[in-house]
Amino acid sequence: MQHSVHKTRGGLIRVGVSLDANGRIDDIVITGDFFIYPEESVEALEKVLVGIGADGGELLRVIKGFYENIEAPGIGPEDMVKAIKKAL
Amino acid sequence: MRYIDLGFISLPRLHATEEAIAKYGVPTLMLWVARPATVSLGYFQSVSEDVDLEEAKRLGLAITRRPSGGGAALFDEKELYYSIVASWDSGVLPRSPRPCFKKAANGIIFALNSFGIDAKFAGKNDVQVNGKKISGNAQTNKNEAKIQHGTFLVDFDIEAAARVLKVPIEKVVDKGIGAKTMPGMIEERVTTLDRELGRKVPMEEAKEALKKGFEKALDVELIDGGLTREEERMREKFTAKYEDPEWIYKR
Repeated sequence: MQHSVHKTRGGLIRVGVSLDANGRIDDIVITGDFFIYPEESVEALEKVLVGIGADGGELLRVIKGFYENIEAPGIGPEDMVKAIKKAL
Repeated sequence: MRYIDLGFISLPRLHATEEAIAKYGVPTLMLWVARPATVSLGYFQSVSEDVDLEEAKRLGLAITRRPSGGGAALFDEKELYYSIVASWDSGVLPRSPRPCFKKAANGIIFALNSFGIDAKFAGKNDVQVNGKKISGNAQTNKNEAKIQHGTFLVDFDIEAAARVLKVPIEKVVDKGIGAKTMPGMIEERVTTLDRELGRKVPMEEAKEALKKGFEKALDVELIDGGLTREEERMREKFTAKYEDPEWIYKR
């Protein structure tokens, strides 16, 4: 697993991520001292991200879709993408 | 609004109490003190990344995970803590996170004002006195009820907190902290009621001030009460959940 630490207005995001042979996310863990409501949605996001290509627009598109049902003060979809890409 | 003085309570039992009350949504303020001393991790934090487990063991500290987000903190008998639980439709707390943090922070600010201390809401979830943190807060929602909780630093164990909490360098590099050591760094960023007043404030005095502060901030009259039988039953069930290592060590 490759790791990153990304600082946002809403807190620190740490990502641990591993890719499969095709450059798609194989496993991902998002941790940190932020607030996201509802909390369980982060586990759901981690599941949804498996199989998604780590480069290109798909990642941002999936994360933006996920943002429709959550509140994440100080953490935009772009921050999430940045945190993931930083780990790679 | 119901008021319950929980006295000393363990963190898993406290969170179970909050969730049991949230199940029925009766607006309640609880004041409590943490026993045993415990490292409380935010919902999304990593046990291995955010806590020095060997130091925690050496200091005899328990490890727990909150149902709410935010950063790791050391909870012990030097500090006073509050929890407010209220159904969304009770109107006691705003549904939206930031207004909710602000309204609850007012309870702490009014309590500090009653001691002649000027304080203000700062950042996303803190109360500060002269730029130093004196209260950290967090919130979550369960069963269409808000759970809002936080610390009121009457006193603070800087040494133990510095030893057990792993503060990532990214968090502090641009905050202009001059001191090199962890205890020094915390000391520059955190203050306590005792330090501001230059005397040891008895816990009962702090409790009374905080209770009055919340009465004013929430515009309610607090009436002493206890848990209902149903709440007590649910609390037992939820305690097992929060004590489960699967929950605590899940990330």
